[in-house]
Amino acid sequence: MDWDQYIFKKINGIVQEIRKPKLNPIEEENRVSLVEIKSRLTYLAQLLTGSAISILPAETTGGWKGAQFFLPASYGRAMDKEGNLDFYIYRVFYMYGQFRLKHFYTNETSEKEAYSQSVNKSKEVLKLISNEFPLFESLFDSVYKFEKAYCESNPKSANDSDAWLYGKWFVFNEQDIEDYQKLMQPIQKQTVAMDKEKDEYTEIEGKHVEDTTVLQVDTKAQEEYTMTHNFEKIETLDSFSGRWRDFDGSDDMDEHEEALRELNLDQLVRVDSPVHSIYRSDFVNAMGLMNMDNTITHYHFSYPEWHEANRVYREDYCKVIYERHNYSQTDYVQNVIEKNKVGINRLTKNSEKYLSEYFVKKRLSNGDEPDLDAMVDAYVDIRTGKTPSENLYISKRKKSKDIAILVLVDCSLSTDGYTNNQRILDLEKEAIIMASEVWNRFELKFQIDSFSSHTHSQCFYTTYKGFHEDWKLTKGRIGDMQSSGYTRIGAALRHATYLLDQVKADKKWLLLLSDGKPNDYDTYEGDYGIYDVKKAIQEASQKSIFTSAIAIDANAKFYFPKMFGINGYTILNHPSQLSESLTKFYINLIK
Amino acid sequence: MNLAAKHMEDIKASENSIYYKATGKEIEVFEHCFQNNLPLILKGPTGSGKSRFIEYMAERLNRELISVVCHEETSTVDLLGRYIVKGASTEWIDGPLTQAIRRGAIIYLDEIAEARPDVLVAIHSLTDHRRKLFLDRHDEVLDAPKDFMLVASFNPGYQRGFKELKASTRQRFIMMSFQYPDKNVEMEILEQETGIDKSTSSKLVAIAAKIRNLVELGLSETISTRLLVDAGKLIHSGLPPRLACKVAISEPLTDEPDIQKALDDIINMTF
Repeated sequence: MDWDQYIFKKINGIVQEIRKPKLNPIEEENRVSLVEIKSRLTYLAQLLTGSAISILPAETTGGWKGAQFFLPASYGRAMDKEGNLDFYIYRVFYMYGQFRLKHFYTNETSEKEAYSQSVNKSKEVLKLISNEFPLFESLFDSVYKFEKAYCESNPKSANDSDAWLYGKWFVFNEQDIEDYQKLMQPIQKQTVAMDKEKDEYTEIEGKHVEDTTVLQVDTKAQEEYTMTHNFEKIETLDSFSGRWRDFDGSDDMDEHEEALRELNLDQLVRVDSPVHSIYRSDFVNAMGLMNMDNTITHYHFSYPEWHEANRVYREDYCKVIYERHNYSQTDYVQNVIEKNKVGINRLTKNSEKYLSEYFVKKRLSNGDEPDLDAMVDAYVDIRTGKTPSENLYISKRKKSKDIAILVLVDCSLSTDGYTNNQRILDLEKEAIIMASEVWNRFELKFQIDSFSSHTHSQCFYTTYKGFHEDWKLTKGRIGDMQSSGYTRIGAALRHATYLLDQVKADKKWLLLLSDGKPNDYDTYEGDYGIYDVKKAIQEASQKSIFTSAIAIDANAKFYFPKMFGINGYTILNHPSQLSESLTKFYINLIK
Repeated sequence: MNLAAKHMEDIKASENSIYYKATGKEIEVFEHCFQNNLPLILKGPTGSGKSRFIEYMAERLNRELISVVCHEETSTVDLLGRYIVKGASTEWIDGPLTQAIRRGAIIYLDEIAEARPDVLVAIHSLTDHRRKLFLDRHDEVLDAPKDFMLVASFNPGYQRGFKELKASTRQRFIMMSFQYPDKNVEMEILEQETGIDKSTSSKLVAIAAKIRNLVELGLSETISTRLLVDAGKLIHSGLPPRLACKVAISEPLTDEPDIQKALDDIINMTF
C-alpha cells in the first residue's frame, strides 16, 4: 500500500469512527446478532411455514419476500439478552403470519408506503397468529413494551418502533409469486474459493442484498475491447453498467475488504472467468434461467435434465464429456499413505471386526474350527440312524459380498477452498485414498470418478479408477485430481448411473462426495438444481442403484434432506471425518 | 358363509379390551386376509400403530398372537426351532413360527427387513398356495392350519437401501401402509389413551402437524402418535405441559440443539 493510500485509509477510518452512532455498553452486551441464531430461526421458520424458508440479514428492519425472511442483522433494544432473542422469535412468527396472509405488493411502491402498509395490516397478522398460537399474544406484548420503552428513552428512534415490530411489505415480481406458490427455496450465490497460501483467508461474508438486477454483458463490446489495465478494481466493479472491462487479478483481499463492503450490489453481471478471492453475498431474484447454447465438438454423452417448474425433461440437454484419467502422481499417494498409516490400520481393524463376524463360512468340509451347530446335527443324524453330513467346519475366510460402489467426487472450484488450513480437495483425496486402501484389502468392487461442469454443454466426468482396474496400479491417479468449474450434480449422477448399470453386482451403490449445492454458471441452482438431482436419484433407484451422499458442508443440512431424503446422506461436522465416514458406509453395507 | 367368516361375525360382536382407532379400511383388509389365508405386511413409520393394530386384530379374531422382533442376527433356526443337547441326548425345541403353526396362532414378525436373508427364504413356502413349513432339521413338514396367519411389518424409511425387502419377497404378501392419522382421529386417540382434554389434545396435534412433512429438518424419524401419547400421559399425570413436550417430543426427536430450540419455540407458543 502506498503512503497516500495509507493516509486515506487512516483518515477514512477516523471519519467512520466519528460517524458511528455512540453505543450504549449495556445494550451492546445484551445485543443478539442474527448470525448466532440463524440456524435456530431457520428451523423455526421452516417448522411454521412447512417450506424451505431461508433467513437472511436485512438492510434495515426486514420483512418477508418469497421464500426468504429478512431480519435485522442484530438487535439490542431490549433490556436483556433474552428480550432481544424474543424479538427475533416474535418477528419469525410475525412473518409467518404475513406469509399466510400473502401480504405483499405486486406494483412498485415507495419505501414509506411499504412500511405504513405493514403497520395498517398488523392487527390482521397478530390476530391470525394468536388464533393458532395462544401464547403469542404475551410474546408480542413483551416485545411491544420494550420496543416502545426504547423509543421513549431514545428520541432519535422515536418513530421507528413500528418498522422494527412489523417490518415492511416487499414488492413481488412474477417470479417471486411463482416461488411463493411453489414454496421454493431461494437462489443463492455460489460460494467459490480459489487458490491461496495456507493460513490466509480467501473469502469474506458480504452484505446481503434484498433486490438485484442482472445486467447482460455487451459481448460485441467485449470482442472489440482494447486491453487496458485497471489499477483499482473496486472502482471498476462499482461503476460497471454493462460495458466490458477486464478485472485485474490482484489478490490482496484483506486490503480491499473495507472497500468491498461499500460495494453497491443492486446491479450484477455474470462472468465466467476464474476468481482468486471471494466476496460472498446472498442475493435473490432476477436470476431467471439462462440458456448457454455452447456448441461442443468433443465426443460426449447426452442426458436429459429435469425442469421442475415446467415438470418436463429437457431432452439431451446435458453433454457429458467423459474421459479416463491416466496421469499419476505416485509420490503424492505414497506420502498420503505413509502419513496416514495409523489411520488406515485403524479403519482396517474396524472393518475387520465386522468382516470376521459376517464373513464366516459355515458347514464346510474343512476349515479353521469345528462348527458346533453342524456337530449337533451330525450327532442327531447318527442317533436317528441317518448318514451324517461331513461338512462340520467353519472357515473365517474374508470373502467380499458382491457389492459395487461408485464414488463420485465433486471437483468443482469450491473444493479448492480451505477449511481449517486444509484444502478441501486434499482432504477429499486423502479420505478416498485411505478408504480405498481399506476397501482394496477386502476385495471390494469400487470405482472412483470425479465431475465438474461449465454449463450444461460441458459437463466433465472423469474416471480415475475403474471397477475392473487394480487399485495398486491406479491409486497414483487420485493424486492428480484437480479442481475446476461448477457443480452440475444431476448430469454427473446420470452418467454414473449409466456406468453402474453396466456392472454386474448384487448390490450397486452410488456415493456422492460434495461440498456444496447443485450449482452451475447457467443458473443451475436453487430449486431447479435440487429437483434435478432428486429426479436423477429416482432414475438411479429405478435401475436398482442406491444413492447416498456425504456432505462436507455444515449448511448441507438445509438442502441435502430435500435431495437425498431421510437417512440418505451424512453431513460431516469436520472434513477430517471423511475417511471415517467412508469406512462406516462400507461397514453398513456389509453388516 | 364359511366357518372362518362365521367365526369372525361372532367375535365382531364382542368388545375389544385393546384400544385401537381405525384410520381407514385396515380392519376390513386384515379380516379378509385372515379369511383367505393370505400373508400380510404392514409398512409404516415408527409409532404409527402397526403393533397395536396386530394386537387389536388378534383379540378381535380371538387368536393367539406370537410376536418376534427381528434383528440382524435373527436366523431361520431362531424362528423354526433347534436341537439342544440335553444330557447325553438331543431334544428338538420348536421356534416361535413352528409353535404358531402347531397352535393355529397369528405370528407377527416385526421389522422383518432386519432379519437375515435365510429367514425370508424359509417362510416362502408359507406365503404361497402350499402353506407348508419345511423343518429339514427335524425331518418334518407342517401344514399351516386355517387359523394360522403370517403377519410382518417393516419401516420403509429406516436404513433405506441397506435393509430392504426384495421385490420377489414383497410380491408374496398383501401390503398395507400405515401413516399417522388425521387430526381429528389423532386427537381422539390421544384423549382415549391418555385422558387429556380436547384443548390439550388439539394443541399436541397442532405441534405434530408442524413437525411432520418437513423434510428439511432432516429428522431420521418424524414425530409419531406414540410420542404424542407419551407427552399426553405426562401432561395428564401433572407434569407441566412445556416440560412434558420437551422430554417427550423435542428431546427424543433430535440431538441437534438448534432444531430442539426451534421445536421448543413452537411448544412455548402453544402451551
